[in-house]
Amino acid sequence: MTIGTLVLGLQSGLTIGLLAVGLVLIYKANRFINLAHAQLGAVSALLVAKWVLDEGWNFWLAFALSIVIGIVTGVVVERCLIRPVRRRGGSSLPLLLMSIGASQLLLALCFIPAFKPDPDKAQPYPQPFEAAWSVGGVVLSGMDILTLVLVPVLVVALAVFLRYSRMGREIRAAANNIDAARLCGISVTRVSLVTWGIAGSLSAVAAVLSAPKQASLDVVALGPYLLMLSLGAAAFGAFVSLPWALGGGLVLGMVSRVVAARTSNEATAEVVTFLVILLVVAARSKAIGAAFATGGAGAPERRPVRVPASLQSSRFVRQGPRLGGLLALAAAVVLPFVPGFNGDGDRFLLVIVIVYALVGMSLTVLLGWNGQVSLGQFAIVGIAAFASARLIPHGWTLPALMLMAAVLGGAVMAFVSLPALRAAGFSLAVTTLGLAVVTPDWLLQQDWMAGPESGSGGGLSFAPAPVARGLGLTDSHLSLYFIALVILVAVLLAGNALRRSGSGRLMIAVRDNQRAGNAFGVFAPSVRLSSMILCGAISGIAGVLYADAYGYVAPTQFSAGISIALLAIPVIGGLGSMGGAIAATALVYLPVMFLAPVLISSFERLGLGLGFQLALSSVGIIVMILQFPTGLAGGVQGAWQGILDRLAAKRDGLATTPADADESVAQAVAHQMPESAETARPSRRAGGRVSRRVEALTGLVEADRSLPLRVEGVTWRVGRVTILDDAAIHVGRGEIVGLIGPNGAGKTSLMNVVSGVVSPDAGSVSLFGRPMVDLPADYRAAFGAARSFQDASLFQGLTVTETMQVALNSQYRVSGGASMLRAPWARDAERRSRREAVRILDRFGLTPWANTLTGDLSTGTRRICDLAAQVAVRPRLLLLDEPTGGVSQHDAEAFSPLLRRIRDELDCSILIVEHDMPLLMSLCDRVYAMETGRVITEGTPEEVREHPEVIASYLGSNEVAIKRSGGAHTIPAPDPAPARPPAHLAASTDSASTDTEIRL
Amino acid sequence: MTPFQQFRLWAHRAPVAERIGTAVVAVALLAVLGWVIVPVTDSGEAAASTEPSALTYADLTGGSEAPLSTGPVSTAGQPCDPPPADAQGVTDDTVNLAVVLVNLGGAAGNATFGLPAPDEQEKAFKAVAKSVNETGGAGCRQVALKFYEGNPSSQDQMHQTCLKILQDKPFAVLDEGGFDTQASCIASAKVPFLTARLNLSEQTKYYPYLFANQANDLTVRNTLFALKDLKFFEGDQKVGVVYGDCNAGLVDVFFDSLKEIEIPDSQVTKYDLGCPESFSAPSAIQQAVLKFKGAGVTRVLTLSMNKDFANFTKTAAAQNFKPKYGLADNDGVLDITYGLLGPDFGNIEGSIGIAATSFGAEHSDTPAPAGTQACSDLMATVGLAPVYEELTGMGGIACSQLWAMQAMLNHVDKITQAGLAEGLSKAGTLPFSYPNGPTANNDPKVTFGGQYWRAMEFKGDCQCWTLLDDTFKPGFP
Repeated sequence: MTIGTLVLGLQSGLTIGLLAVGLVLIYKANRFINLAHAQLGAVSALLVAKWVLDEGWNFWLAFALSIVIGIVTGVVVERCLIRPVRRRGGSSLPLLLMSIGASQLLLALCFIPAFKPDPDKAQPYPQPFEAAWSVGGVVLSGMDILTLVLVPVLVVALAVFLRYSRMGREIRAAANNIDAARLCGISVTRVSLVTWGIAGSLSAVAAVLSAPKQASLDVVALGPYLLMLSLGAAAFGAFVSLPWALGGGLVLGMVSRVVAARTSNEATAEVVTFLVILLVVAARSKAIGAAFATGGAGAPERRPVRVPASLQSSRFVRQGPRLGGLLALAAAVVLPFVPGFNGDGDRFLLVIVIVYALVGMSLTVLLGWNGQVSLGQFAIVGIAAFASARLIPHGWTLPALMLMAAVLGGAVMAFVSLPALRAAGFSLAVTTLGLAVVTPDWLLQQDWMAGPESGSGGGLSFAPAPVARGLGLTDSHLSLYFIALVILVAVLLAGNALRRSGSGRLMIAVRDNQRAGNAFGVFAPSVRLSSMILCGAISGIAGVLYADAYGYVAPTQFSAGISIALLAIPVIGGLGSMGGAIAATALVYLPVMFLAPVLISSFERLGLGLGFQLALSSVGIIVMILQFPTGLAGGVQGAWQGILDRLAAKRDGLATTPADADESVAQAVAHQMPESAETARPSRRAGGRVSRRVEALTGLVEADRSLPLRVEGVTWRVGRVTILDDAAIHVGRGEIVGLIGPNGAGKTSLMNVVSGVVSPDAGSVSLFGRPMVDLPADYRAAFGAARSFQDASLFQGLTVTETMQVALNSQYRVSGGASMLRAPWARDAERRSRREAVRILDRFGLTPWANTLTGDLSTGTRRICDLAAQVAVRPRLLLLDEPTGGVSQHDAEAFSPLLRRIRDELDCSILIVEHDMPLLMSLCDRVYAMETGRVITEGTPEEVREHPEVIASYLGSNEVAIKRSGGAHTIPAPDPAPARPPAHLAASTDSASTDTEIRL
Repeated sequence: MTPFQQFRLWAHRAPVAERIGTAVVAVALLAVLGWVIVPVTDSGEAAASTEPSALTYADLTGGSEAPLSTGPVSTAGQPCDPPPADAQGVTDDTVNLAVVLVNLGGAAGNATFGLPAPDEQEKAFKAVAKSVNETGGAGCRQVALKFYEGNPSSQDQMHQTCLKILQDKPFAVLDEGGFDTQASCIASAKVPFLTARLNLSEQTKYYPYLFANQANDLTVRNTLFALKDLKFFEGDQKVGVVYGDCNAGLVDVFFDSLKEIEIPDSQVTKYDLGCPESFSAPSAIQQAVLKFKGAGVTRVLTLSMNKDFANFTKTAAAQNFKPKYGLADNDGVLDITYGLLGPDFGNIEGSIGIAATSFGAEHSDTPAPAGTQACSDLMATVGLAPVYEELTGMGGIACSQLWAMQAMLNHVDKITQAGLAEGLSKAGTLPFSYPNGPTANNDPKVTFGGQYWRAMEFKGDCQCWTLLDDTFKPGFP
C-alpha cells in the first residue's frame, strides 16, 4: 500500500462521504432513501462548465451560482414532487419511487443543449485554480485540492449547523418526532424545504467537484456502484449520523482503493467492498431498524370492498371480480394473435413482459407484504438465467430448470437478506443493491458461472429447453408465451391464496408491528426469511423463462438499472396486490416495448432521443404516484366500490353509511350470546408432543412449574443510565398483579424484559418454571404468555378478523406451501380459524368492524380489539401495558370486571401496568410499586397505597389524589350517578352497574 | 412449541459439541444430496451446425495473400444466367436482405460515438443497393433491402429485432456493427449474418453463417505480433496492460499472445477494470494510472476498453504520465478517437495503432483505392460525405457488405444460405471500400476479413492517425 493509494482512497472516500451525507440528511428529514440525490446537482455541474468555458465567467462566480441552482433544484423537487406524497402520510416507499422518477427527470434535463457547454470546443472541465501538487505520486489538480479542503469543512459546518443553530435543532427535532415537533410550533414544511435546499447544494458541490474526472458530463449521475457505496457509507451511521456517514465513505473509499491496488482488479475491489457493506449492515441492522421505525413503515392499504347488504346475495356482485380476472386472462390469451403483437419478436417481448410481471409480483411480496425494499431483484433473474444457460445443453427440462431456479433464487435471496433480517426498513435495499452491482460486474463473469464458451459479449448461447420429456422444445415464442402465462396465473393464484392464509397474515403482521407479532408467538426473522425465499424463488423462475426466451444470456442484460426501474411495478400496481403488479407491468412495459420505439423514432430528429426516453418514463412514474396513491389495484377497487354503492342506492333508495354500522355495534354488544361452558374453557394443545429432549433444554424448574412468572434480579442499562435495577417480581397462579409507578419508573421496561422485547444485562425471567431470559420474544407465547402494548397499534394493514386470526395462528398453523396450493387441510384450517375469529369478535361486540382495517378503528375500539386478540391466544399469563390508555373514563371503568372475567374464564394470571389507580385498586390481588427502576414495595393494593415511599414518589401527598386512588378516606363522588359502562362494552346500557355482560 | 421453535431452542441451548457435530453431518448430507441429484451427462451439448467443419483459432497461422479479385463485380450489360436458388428470401428475380442500422437514441445518441444518424445510414445502403442492382444485381437478381434498427442499450429491443428479422425470412442480414450480440440469434436460424467484428469462436460454432470484417481475437493477436515487428517493445520497455474483462475469451487470447511474442511476465503490469455497466469509475482509472506510473511503465496496451480510453488518457495527462500506447482496433478504440468521447490527443501522440481495416488511409497522401473511390462516388449521389470524411466508416461498410454479398452470390452455382461461404472463397480477395481492407477469402473456412492489417501512428500536428508504412508487410506467421 503506497501513499498514492491512500490519497486516491481519501479522494474517493470524500466523494462517497459527501454523497452519503446528503442521503443521510434527507433520510433524517423524510425517512426515505433519496435515489435522486446525485442528480440534484447534475445540471449545476453542466452549467459551471458552460458558463466558464463558453461564456468566460470566473470559476468561483459560476461555482457559487451553481450551488444556488442546486438549492433551487432541491427546493423545487421537494415542493412539487416530494411534499404531495409526504402529505398523504403512510409508507415511505412511494417517496423512494418518486425519487427514481425525479432522478430520471433531472437526468433528462442534462440532454437539453442549452445547459451544456459547446461540444465542438471539447475543452476539459474548468479548474478552480491551476495546481499540480504531487503527493505519493498522485498529481493533485486544483479541483482535487478544493475537494480535500472543502468536503471536511462542509460536513463539519453542517454538523455544527444542525447541532447549534435554531433551524438545525428544528431539523433534528422534526426528524426524531414529527408530531411532537409540530406540537412545539415547528413548521415541518419549512424544515423539509430547508433540508432539501441544503441537500441540493451538497449535491451541486459534489457534482462540480467530481466532474473533471467523469468520463462524460452527461453521466454525472449516481450510478449503481457509487450509489451502493454511498448507501453503505450511510449505513455506517445507521442513516442518521452525518460524521459516521463521512467516516463510512472514507472507510469504503480506502478499502476499495487498497484492494484494487493490491489485486489490480476492480471487480475484486467491488466484491470486497460489497462484503464490507454486508458486514456493516449486519452489525448496524438494529440501529438502522430503530431509525426507520421512528418514521413508520406501514404501506398504504386499500380498504376492503364493502358489499352493501342488499347486494350480498347478488351473483354479479359475488362473481364480479372473478369475471374481471377471467376477462383479463382471455385478453392475455388472445393478445399474441392480435396484429401488432403477433410477430415472433412481439411474442418474445410479451414473454419478457411476463418475466417483468413475475419479478413485479416477487417485489410485491417483498414490498407490499413485508415492507422491505429490494434494489437487486433482477440480479436473481440473471443468476437463474445463467444457471439455466449452463444446464439446458445438458438436457434439463423446463420443470426441472424451474425447480432448480426456484431453489437457487431462494438461496441467493436468503443469503443477501441475512444481514437485514433483524430489522425492517432499508437494510435490505443496501445489500440487494450490492447484489445488483456485483452480479453483472463480477459474478456472471466468473468461469464457474458463465462457463468457458462465452461469445463476443461475454455471453452464452444455447438451444431452447425441452418443455418436458417427450413434449418437444420451447422453440416457438408462442408456446413459451403460453407456458409463461400459465406460470404467471399459477403464481398469481398461489400468491393470492398465500396472502389470504395464515402465512400471508403473518407477513403483514410482522411488517406492521413486529413487536406485537412477537407477542403473538410470531418469529419475525423466520417470517421475513420465508418471504425472501419465496420472492427469490419467483424471480428465479422468471430467470428460466428469460433465458429460454432469449436463447442467449450475457451479463449486460442484468444491469442494476433494471432492478431499480422494476421497483415501480408494485407501487404503481398498488402495494400488496399481485393482480395490481401484473396490471402495472402491462401498463408500463407494453407501451415501453411496443410504443416507445415508434415515439422515439418520431422524436429522434429533434436530437433528443435518450433525453426524451428519460423524460417519458420519469413523467409516467411521477404522474402515477401523484394521481393514483393506492395504485391501479386501489383505483379498480374504488371503481368497483362505486359501482356497488350505486347499485345498492338504486335498489334500496339509500346507501349504508358508516354511521349505521356504528349504531349497530351497540346493538350487537347489547345482545351478546351467553357463553357455553364448552367454548369458554380454552383447549390446550397437547404438551406430550414436546420431546423429553426439548423439555430438558427448556431448563424446567419443577418447583416453579405452577408459578406463571418469576423475575429475579433484573438489571438493564442503556449507556450509563440504569433503567432497571435489580428488579424482582412474581405472579402466582390466578393472580392479578399490578405494576405502578411514576413515568420512567421502569414498568414498561420490566414488561419488555418479561416479554422478551429487550434482553437485560443481568437477572432471570422464568415462565411456569422455565428460564426465558435468553430466548426471543416469541417463546413467551409458546409457554402461555400474551402481551398487549401501550399503543395497541396492532396491525394497520389487517382487518379486525384477520388480526384475530393472527392471534389464533398457533392453533391453526398450516405451512405456506400448503396454503399456496390450497390443500384441503389448509382450507379446513382457514375455515376453522375464521369461524373462531368470528366467534371471538361476536363476543367482544366487534362484529360490525370485522372487515375494517385495525388502523381505521378508534382508540377505544382498538383497545377492545387488542384485548380480544390477547384472549384469542388463550394465555395462561396475560401481560397488559396500560390497557385503558387513551380510553374514555366510561370505557375504562368497564375494564375491571372484564379483566376479572377473562382471568376467571381462561384460568390465567394477569400482570398489568396501569396509571388508573381506581381501576388497579379494584382489580388487583397484589401490586408492585416501582421507582427509578427498582421495586420499592409490594403487597395488597391497600398496603401499597399506604406505603410512604409510594405516596412520596407516585401518589403524592395530596389527599384528594390519594382518595381518588381509592384511599381509606374516600370523599364522596361529586356526581352521585353510578358509573356507566362504555357504549360498546355495556350489555345493558340502562344498567347502573359497571359490570359488563361480555362473556368469555 | 412449534418444531421450528424446538429447533431454535436446541440451537440456543444444546451443548456446543452436539451443535457442531450436527452441522457437519448436515453439510455432508447436503453435499451427498447435491451429488445425487445434479446430472453429470454432457450429451446434450448444442450443436448449431452440421455443415463442414470450421476453422478454429488454433488452425490459423496468419493471412496469406491471394490474387486480387477484379473489384466490385460488374455484370452490367452482360447476359445473366441466374443460378438456381434453394433458400428463403430469394425469388427468381430478388434477393431480400435485412439491414440493421445503429440507433443509440437518435442522431444525438449516435453523435456521441461519432456515428451518423440512422437515416443517413439508410441512405448509404440504398445508394449502394441501387448501384448493385444497376450493375446486374447479385446472383443475377435484384437486391431488396428491408431496414431495422438496433439499439445496443436495449437488449430486449435488439432481440425483438432479431426475431422480427427472422420472421420476415430474409436471405441474409447485414449489420454495421451494433447488432453483433444477436449473431447467435441470427446464425442459429441458419441465416447468414454479416457484421463488423466477431470472435472467431462464435464464427466457428455457427460456421458457415457468420461473416465479419474482422475476427476480434485475430486482430488482438496480430496487433501484438505487429507491435513486436515494429520494435514497440524493444529496449527493455515496461509494459502496462489495462483492460476490461467482459469478454473473457479475448483476455485469454491477449495474454497468450503476449507470451508468444516473448514478453516476460516480469515486464508486464496488468490492471483489470472489470466489466462496468457503462464507464469505469474515475477512481479505478486513476488507480490504473497510478499503478503504471509507480511500476515505471513506458508502453501501454489496451483491450476492450474503448469507452474508458478517453478518460484513461485524460487522467494520464493530468497525472503527467505519458506512455506510448499500442492499440488494437478490435473494439473500435481507433474509430472513437474523433467522436465526443475522444482521448487526450497530447497524451496519445506517437501511439501506434494496428487496424484490421484500412483505417488511417484517410490521412495518407496516397490516392484512395478504387473501392473507396467508388463508394465515395455512390455516397455523393445521395448527398453524403465521401467515406474518408465519415470517419467511423459507416458508408464504407455499406459498400463493402453489399459488394461482398454481390461477389458471393455471383460466385455460387446454387444460392443457398449454407453455400455463401463457398461463394466467398471463390470470389477470392475483394477490394472493399474504406474502412475495410482487402480480404483473403480463398479458403472456404475463412469467413472473416482483416488479414491485411496495417499500422498507424497518431500524429500531434494533424491530431489524426496516419499510416506508418503503406507498404508494410508482416514478418510473422
